[in-house]
Amino acid sequence: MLKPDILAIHKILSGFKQSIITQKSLIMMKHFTKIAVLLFLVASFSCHPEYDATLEEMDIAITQYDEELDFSQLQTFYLEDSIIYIEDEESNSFVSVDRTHEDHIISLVRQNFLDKGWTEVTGPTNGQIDADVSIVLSVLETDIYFYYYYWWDWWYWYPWDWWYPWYDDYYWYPGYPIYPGYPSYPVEGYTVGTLFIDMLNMGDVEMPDENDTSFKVPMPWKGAVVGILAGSDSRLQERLSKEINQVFEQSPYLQK
Amino acid sequence: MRKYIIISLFIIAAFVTKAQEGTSTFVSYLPSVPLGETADFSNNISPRGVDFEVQRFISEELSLGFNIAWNMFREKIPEESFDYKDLTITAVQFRYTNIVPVTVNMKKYFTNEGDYTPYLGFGVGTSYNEKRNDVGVFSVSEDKWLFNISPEIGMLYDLSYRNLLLVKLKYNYGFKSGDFPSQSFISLGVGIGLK
Repeated sequence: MLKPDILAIHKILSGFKQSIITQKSLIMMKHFTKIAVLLFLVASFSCHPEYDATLEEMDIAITQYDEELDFSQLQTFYLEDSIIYIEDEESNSFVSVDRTHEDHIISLVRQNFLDKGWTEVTGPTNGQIDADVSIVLSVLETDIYFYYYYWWDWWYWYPWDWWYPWYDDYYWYPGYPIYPGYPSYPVEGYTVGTLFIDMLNMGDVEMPDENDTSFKVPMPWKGAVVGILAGSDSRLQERLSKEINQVFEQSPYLQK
Repeated sequence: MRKYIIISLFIIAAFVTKAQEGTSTFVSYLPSVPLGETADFSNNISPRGVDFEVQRFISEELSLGFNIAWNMFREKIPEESFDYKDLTITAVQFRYTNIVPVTVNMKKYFTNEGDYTPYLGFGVGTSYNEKRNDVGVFSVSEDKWLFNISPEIGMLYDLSYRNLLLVKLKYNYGFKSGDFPSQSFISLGVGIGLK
């Protein structure tokens, strides 16, 4: 009986395999550098990490509120028909923002409060306003890192004597700065074009006493649309409406 | 402590790379799938990963090595409202997780007469982990060094006398530390090696 020569077969197969390996080696030696470079490039390019956000994707609506306050007690609001522009012309980041949207912003804020069932109080009566809250709108024309430092600059602008006319006799007006009643937006670094919608609770203002140098205004609710008015964009009006409405939409406790 | 771990890892790496004889060096492309808390934060299969490894044979079937990797996961979360501290924020979120494991590993090879050499490996060390959430102009990030393990299974293929092709499946787990959650992912690596 003819038996297969195992050793011979193994030798043949080994030779065949060696031949394949040799050819393979030649091919690989030829291309190894290219493969290595290609692998490195694939790894490098695939590691480009950052998303490219569109302008719209950079829009942010932020709100903060006093969780301990019963908002149902607040029913009426006063809205100044102007916007405060916080500027610092000496700052490197000073940019004059487009102010043509002012009316749109004010009317949109007013409409949102009305839609939530609030009652608007317009102008002083007998030299005094008795709305529960005052809504203050402001826009940054400079980057800021501490939100309320600008209060030092514009607090005198506010018609405090409409709210507290009896304080006219006191020397503190307009001699003292004001502070928000509690720490504000913990996120630092607000940029040019940010719109702030601040609610001042005028019923709980802490007046300064003789030993104090400031008075405190509680801000039970704050809204911000970050950077919305920076630059120019043909869809700005649409983005403004969307983001301002969002500020109110995410504040269900304001609903009457 | 972290400093000593890293220094120790580099000393071992230096030891491993000192002798050319019996030493292999690998570079692998490492696409990965996030798991667990990593996926909760940034849940996308990631093509962004690479590792570098040096192995020195301490016996015919065992090698001791050093591995440093970088994996990056990212996810774009469509506009939604979320809470941050006492704020409510509505925005598009761009989330990134960077994980850089630095491990010492040991591999057991199942040698045969063929060109293919399967192996089992286990790495232990530390990993640098960074989670970042970009929201508009804001960026919220936290980072932490975690105790890290990385078991793997793989196959070496002799391309030539000096060149190797490597295919591996590698699991990476960084243990929770403090408030920083555990991080885990699984990678399918394809690499080349020199011996």
